[in-house]
Amino acid sequence: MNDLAIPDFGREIAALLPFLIVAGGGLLVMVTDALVKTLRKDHLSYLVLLVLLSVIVVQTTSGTPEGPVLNGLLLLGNFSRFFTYLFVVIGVLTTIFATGIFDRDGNYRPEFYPLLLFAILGMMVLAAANDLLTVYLGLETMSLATYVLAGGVRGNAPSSEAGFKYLMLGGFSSAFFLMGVAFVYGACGGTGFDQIAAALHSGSAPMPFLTLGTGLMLVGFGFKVAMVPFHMWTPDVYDGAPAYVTGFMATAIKAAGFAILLRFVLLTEPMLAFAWYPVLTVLAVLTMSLGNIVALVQGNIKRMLAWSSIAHAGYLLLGIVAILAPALGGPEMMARAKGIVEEGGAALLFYLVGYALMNLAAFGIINVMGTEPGVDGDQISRYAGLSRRQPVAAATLAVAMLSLAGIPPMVGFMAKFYIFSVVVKAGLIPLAIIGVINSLISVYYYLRVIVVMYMHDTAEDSYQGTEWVSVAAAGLLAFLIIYLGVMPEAFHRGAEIVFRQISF
Amino acid sequence: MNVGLPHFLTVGAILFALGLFAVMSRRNAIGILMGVELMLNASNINFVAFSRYVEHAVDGQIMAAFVIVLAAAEAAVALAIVLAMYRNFGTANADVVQSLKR
Amino acid sequence: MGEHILSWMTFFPVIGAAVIAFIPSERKEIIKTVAAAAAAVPLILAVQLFVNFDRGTAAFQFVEHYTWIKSFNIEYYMGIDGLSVPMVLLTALLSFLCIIASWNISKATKGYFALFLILEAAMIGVFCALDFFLFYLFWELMLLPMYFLIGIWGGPRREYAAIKFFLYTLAGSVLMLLAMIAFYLNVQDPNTGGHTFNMLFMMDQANHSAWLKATDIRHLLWLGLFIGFAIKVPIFPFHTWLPDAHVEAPTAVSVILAGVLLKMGTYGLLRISYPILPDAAVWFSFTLAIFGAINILYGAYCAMAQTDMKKLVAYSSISHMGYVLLGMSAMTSAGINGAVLQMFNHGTITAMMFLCVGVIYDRAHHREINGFGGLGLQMPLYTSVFSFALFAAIGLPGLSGFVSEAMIFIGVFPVYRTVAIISALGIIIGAAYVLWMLQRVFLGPKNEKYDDLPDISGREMFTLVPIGILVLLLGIYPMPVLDLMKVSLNNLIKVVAG
Repeated sequence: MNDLAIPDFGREIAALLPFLIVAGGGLLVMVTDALVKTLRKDHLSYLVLLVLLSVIVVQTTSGTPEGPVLNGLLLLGNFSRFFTYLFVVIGVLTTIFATGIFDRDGNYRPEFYPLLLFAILGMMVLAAANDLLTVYLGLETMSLATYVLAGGVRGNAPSSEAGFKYLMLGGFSSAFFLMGVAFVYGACGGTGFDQIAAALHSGSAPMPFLTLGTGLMLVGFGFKVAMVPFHMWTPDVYDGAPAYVTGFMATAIKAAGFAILLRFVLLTEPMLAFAWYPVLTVLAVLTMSLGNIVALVQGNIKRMLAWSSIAHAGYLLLGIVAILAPALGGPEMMARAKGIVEEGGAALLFYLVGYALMNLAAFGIINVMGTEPGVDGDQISRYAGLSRRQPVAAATLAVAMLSLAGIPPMVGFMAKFYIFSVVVKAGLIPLAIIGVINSLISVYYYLRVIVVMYMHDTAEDSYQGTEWVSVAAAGLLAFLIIYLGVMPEAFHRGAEIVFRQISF
Repeated sequence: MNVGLPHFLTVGAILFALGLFAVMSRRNAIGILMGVELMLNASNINFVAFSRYVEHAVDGQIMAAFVIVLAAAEAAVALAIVLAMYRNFGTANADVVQSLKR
Repeated sequence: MGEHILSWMTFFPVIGAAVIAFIPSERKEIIKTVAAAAAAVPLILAVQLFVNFDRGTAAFQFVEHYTWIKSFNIEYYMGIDGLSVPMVLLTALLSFLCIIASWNISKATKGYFALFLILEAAMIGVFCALDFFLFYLFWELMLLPMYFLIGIWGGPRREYAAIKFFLYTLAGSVLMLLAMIAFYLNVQDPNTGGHTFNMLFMMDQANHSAWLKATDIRHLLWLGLFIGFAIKVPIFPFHTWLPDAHVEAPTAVSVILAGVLLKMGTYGLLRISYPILPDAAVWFSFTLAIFGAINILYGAYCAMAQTDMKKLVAYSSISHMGYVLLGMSAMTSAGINGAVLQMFNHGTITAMMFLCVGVIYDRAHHREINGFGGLGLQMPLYTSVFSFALFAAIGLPGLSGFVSEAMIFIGVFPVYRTVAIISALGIIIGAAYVLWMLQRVFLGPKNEKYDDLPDISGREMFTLVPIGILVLLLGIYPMPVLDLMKVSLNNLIKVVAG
């Protein structure tokens, strides 16, 4: 926090409008649900969609002020705006998926909607954070809401177990994170990113505190993005939580986690690149490999996607490693550094969006496949013959799987291509080869889902469930997956511009 | 004896370690939660100590205040979830609740 | 259509597939007709290509060049020269005939024909692409329909075969991807100074960076590309996916697999590896000749041991692709021209053989060589067509296989004499397994089980006769195809062998 200046309230409020809308919307939905007894439960979802759409409208039309607000607690601009769009879109789809299943089963979770909005608020704060205080606040707001989202299905044992595990390990990791913040604060004499950057540039920060602090913070980040060895919660939580929540966690939380990890790594890079680089390299390799290898033997599609999400965190970490590499290279590398950093950042952002599309498409289908209420379509073997019973749903899931596997012309291929080409450009050819081998391994388990859907005949216990709004939404995502895979250029350009704001 | 920054940090470290030990060794959900709370409070001690000895300003104390509030919120959420788990499983023992392991 | 003839050839089948997607799946006749029409258009355009192709230049023709992904300098760059023209013609012809040959597919007809058309589009795209990235994209795109075609419409072990095919090919193309990125970062676009995927720029050694000029690196890249392409050819020891895929695949898919897909491996070597890394090609040429000889002998030897007709034909494909490798390794005019001609001829001959196997399989529902006997009396017309194909396969003079194999041996003999002599043994083994099969299936005592087997039908003849005529014509007078490729290939030899 900088010296307290008298803020220009008009500007601040205008700048914070998207945040205020989401926060106020959350409260409004909560109060409406409690007070207006005559309201049909499914109408709450329209209110949520209205709130989310108004965020998009406000953010698009009002030309939010750039730069720091609230005495530097938040940094607004392209970067925060990009992530706000992403979170809002994920939120809209999650609302559609959740409402679809509530409608079908006639079993409403009214607390779901406000919590979803609060989780999104936390993520928006996280992506805009410019101070360790706001990082912590955003992280906790997001986490507390998702603990309940995951664990709050009444009378559902797997859900409560998932919520419990997520909560315990999440609280544990945020305690580490907080301790790390304390040490970084002690080392730099402030929690603002600007103060930290200044302390690092002047070299006044004591190294032991700094490395200890960032190391502990890495535990917290690693937990949120499901990085090995902080991944243990992922399979159980993804499995136990209802699919519409799992889809939300797999996409939005990962994006938020990487947004802040990226910012923090870039912030501390000048002094700590030497430490970040080997640690993240090793963790990236472990994360990819472990995720892919364990995913091979999963018979439950949600667990399989949990391990796959761990593997994808590994690919994303490769992007961060590539961004760090130039700082350690010789002078010849430094000359190319800016290009590599910018391309790496753009690749990362592109990947996060592509990953969100394909994972949401997959979970959107898994969400509605279950035949009994309250149980998702999670057994891969029971997808047998889906292509004949529900060709659209099967094709959508197939596109999502192929995209996750990185097969052209899906967006997953372009995303991996961008990441790997930046890794090669940074001179890390062995890492690129490991990454490519990993994505080769992954093809096997993604294809298995397709094999079952397309090549096995319908059995007695095959899934029959459906819900057409969700399937249509997931189908739209499948279309976007292919569209962005064939026409990635404009979007990738955009990601580059977005990233430029935070690459110092 | 002159009490300075190292002493506070030592207390913080001990508290953190105790919390960590509690989380690791406890089987009861409430016990684990208490461990997490200890760890959070260990950070609080560090925040306040750094604010007094390094920054000479109040940022760390503000941070600590936020942490206290959030810890309370977290405890509320945690207790609700533990209660839900107890209803479903009839126990709050973290080792017993393992239905998701294949 | 005149201006964008290659794009039309590539994407018209996709339009056909899109149309099919909107036809109700019960209207099978309409679906099949649309598919045939969609595949006929590229065939007609291919004829137009054949007529208008300028045989006097090595330059790329019918070029289409547009920017696609600007930040990576990826272009939509299509064009053909003497190397790709025969392949494009072959693809268009076989795809059309295979659609006709698939007329009795009854399981999920809609999906089958839609996928088949997408497969055709991807194959033509591979042969036309001049941007490495585009090439890679088409190459991968080809995998998906193939995977589904084997995996859904295949035989009892189709799942295993489909996954094996997919993983093998993908492993190969991943190596290609890495090599591609390495080229991209180390080849300079002479106009802008940036990185480029343009194959023509890659072929110009002056654009290579210092890193790419190092011999070790070039050898490494060559090996990466080689393994990628070798899996597709397939070259021993990367061949094990092929028999499985062939045995399980439906007839028409086998035809495409052997007739077109295998050629992509050797096409890739000639289109990409040879001109971009000519010195590495020379360095590797003797090893390539050895690989060729191993393929010839190993394939023929394994074919000898097969009792399943389709497996026999599959192994004979491995053997025949060995001739292509052998011819390529010589880097003489006769060798390389012979190799490309062999690619074309093997495409036609093996297509005939697979179609013939399909005919008997449709009737008897098995392909056991020992389960037949005396079919010559029962199905005289079929017997003569199949024998024609088999004789073409063993290189009977007067049929097309003879010309290309002879050219290959003429090309190789002065360069690698011992290898050539050893390889020639393959011809003898080839004759042995083919004649032995002929004897067991068509001659000898008649198996009474098959007394009421009808002879080959008109539709089946319609798919076989055009290829047969081509095989006969090119056996007597191969110049129409040789003329197409001569100038380009001789130019390639000049680039590689100096």
